Amino acid sequence: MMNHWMILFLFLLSFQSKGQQKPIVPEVSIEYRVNDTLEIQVNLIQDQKTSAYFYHTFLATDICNDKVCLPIQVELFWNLMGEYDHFSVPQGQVFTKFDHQYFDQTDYDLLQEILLDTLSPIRDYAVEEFLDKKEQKYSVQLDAITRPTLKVFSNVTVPGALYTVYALWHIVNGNIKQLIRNQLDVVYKQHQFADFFATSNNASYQEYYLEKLTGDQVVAAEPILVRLLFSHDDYIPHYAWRKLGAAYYADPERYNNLLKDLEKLKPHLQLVVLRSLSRPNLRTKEILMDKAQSKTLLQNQKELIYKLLNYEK
Amino acid sequence: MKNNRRSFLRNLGIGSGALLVNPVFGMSRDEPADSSGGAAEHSAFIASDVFVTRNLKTDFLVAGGGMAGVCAALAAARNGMKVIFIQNRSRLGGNASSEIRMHICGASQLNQVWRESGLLEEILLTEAAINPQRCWEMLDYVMYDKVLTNPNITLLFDTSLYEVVRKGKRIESIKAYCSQTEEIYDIKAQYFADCTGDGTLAALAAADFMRGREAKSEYNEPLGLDKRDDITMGNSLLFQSTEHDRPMPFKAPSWARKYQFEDFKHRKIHSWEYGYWWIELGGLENIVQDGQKIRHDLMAVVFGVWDYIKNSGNHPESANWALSWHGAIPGKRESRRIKGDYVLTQNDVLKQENFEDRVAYGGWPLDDHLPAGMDDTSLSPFRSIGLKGPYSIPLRCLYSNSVDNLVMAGRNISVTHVALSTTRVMATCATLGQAIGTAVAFAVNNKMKVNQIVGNKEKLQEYQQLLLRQDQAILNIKNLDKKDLALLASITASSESDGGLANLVTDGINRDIADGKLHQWRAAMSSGEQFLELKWKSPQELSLIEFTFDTGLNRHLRLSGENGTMKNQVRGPQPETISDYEVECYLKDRLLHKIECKDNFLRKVAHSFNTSKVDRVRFVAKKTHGDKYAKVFEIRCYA
Repeated sequence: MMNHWMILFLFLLSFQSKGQQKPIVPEVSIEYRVNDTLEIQVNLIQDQKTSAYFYHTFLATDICNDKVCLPIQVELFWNLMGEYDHFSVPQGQVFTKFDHQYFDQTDYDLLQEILLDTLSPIRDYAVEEFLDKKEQKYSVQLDAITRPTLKVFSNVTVPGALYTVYALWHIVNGNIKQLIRNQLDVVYKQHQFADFFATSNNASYQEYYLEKLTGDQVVAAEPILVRLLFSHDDYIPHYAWRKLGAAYYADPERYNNLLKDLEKLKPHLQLVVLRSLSRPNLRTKEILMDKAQSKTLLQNQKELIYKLLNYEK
Repeated sequence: MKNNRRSFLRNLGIGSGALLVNPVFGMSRDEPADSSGGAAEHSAFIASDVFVTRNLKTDFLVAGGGMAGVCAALAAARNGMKVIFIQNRSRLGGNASSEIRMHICGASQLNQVWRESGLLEEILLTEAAINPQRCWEMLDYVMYDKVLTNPNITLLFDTSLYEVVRKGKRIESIKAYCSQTEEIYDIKAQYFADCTGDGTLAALAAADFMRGREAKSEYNEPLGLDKRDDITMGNSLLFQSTEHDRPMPFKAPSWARKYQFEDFKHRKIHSWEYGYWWIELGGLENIVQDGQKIRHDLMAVVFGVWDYIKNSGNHPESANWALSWHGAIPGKRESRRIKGDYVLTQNDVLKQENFEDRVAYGGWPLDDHLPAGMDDTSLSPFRSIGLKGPYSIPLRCLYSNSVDNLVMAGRNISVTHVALSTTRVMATCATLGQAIGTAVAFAVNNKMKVNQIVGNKEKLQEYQQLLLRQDQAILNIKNLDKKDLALLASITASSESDGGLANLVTDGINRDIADGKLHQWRAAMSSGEQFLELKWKSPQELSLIEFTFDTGLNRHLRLSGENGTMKNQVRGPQPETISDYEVECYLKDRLLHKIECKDNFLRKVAHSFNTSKVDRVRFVAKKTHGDKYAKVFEIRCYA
């Protein structure tokens, strides 16, 4: 299916990345062979403003259909899990659509939305399948008739830029994801990304951090694990709680501080926490007595709190 | 938590082979009837007079009473075939029956205009009209009623197929056993339909069949695997629950699986009145012969999930809810696929080009389920690719390439694993059933074989015209029926509204086909009853007039236990449909026949009368089920 558009790249100009990105030492570089005519170099960089790490490439090429070619220059960014993150268009450059109209901000926003959608029909349909075989539209530029996008697919492409969107989607969501993932274990260790992953807001990073955390690292990582109990993701707090383990659940000196913020945890985690804890001390009971007064407490939470209040060794 | 299959069978005290024993031989005994000993102690005997053998002969044997089988039997019988219809349960509908309760999915999922018409539509319109209470058994009853009242069908319930006798490339007869009556049926037929879902009949006939997931290299499918395997999609077990006016505690059995919050990362518990399709297992096992284990494992999942809902504390609003029903027969998605003259692939589904021998269509997404199901909750349970529109299905997928008189409909047709992920849904299966039932009748009536229809363009077109006339869900076929006298008539109407011209009732298109054009007569009812007239320059001999009304094929119409699925459906007659009408036949302004119809809720209706010479037919729309327009897609007139 990909072959149909692969041959549409007429030529490729490749530039090294430049601007506000800091190269990483030791350098991490991936050769990404998109298709028979396009191979790009993807480098690990650090954004100087945010200190975030990305894989990056600068792409300059023409994307053509059977009648017309549109030039494109764009910087593409993936996160360290290989997921496409964002693009930026170099200053002075602009994307073009049907009959050389320029992209406006709405078009760029829509493009970003489409590129982020890994389940887009672009994944599964050949580019020709998006075209309405019954309808035609006239191109002033070409002085010829071309085929418009099928109405049913109008929300999965930027109007008038099907080939550009299609080609970019396959570049950013192609095999690069696997290539980056293949590097992940090594890069994570080599560049000591544990803190970056743990403190990021990206749930995939947090999950990877928890997966890699070994048993002997848990005690040292306790403050981070406790912080992850408050992750915005629904599941990371459960994974972090499991990592904290039985020793933590049975040590009120360690868990009392967390109990003070019990209601800030997601309700489903509150239940797990209350069910797991044991050996409460006097301070625990004080905190729990205070919590028991709350009017918003659910019946099952109350029952678990009373159970802990009545806990006897 | 999982049972190991081997240990499960060991616990039962049997090896897997014991489950496959031919029931006749299974009646033989190794133990003497009289334990007092003697010579009998060491000699086996067969109590051969216990079971009665019935020798039956018919035109068409349909094995399997799911949606495909029901429609195959009805279509053939309505086209004049004598049909013996065997079903191994005492309910019709298969996965849609009250025993399994999966709602019927199909091309409505496209959210366009493509709800399947034909026999399925007739069944579902009837069910919606008579079953406002949403009782599952009423859907069984609707099908039972239609099958039982057809004098051409002999329905044999609780009857399991166990043997096929084949001579050369033809099946001669099959044997089936009814546990309720201790009868063995020996049935000879001209044609045999495998609507078993598992392809049991085909397998017993040693027909070519496929199983598992194909490699990319086999059919050039992007979703194919690098290397083929024998994995399938799993089975599901559903449940229902109802709300009470007081707390309803639930204590799970010890064998229920235990679940926690993280297990539902990819499986949403959005409501609990109806179970979840993702309660699915068995894809990594032998989906047919490990069925006992899979059923018990699924039961442990159903009760485990319900235990989680009731007792985890994460769904406190479920306090007053209690189980009202749970399935015991898993709904199957995939087993054997019988090889036909063509194998439908992912590319056919996505490209959506017309097959010349198209006889039905599908529109459900390419919806493949991961085989591990609830054995691995860390993975998403499915991968779905939405379709841009309906794709056609050729007749060549519906007859065996290795057995001459074997046709098939349902999930066991000739498709790859990837294509099966869309064709497997029941609305599609039902239309396939109608296609083969009609094909067999057409072939027999034309003294040809089903597998010769495709090669004979004239006959193929005639067969497709017959399907269209009988309201089959079929793409890009226009009414070109030379026997339809309505096509020769001039047409006028009391009024025409909203572009719905009177002569659209003979434009050859009997439904909305999403081409931006109307294909129906419309007349505003606000000014009272409306009429439409067909006039012929010279009198025509007529005995039959057929109407196709509007039933809102743009909407879903299916019984479900899930409130969300029932939302935006219309229970009862569909508002677009003309409820009360009259048909008057005239010759030189003299009224010859007057047919009055009240409370119609069907899409396709036929009225017959004594053959008469007629030069004018007047259709008078008196009332709709709510629509402000009288709407008629098509009128056909026959001698």
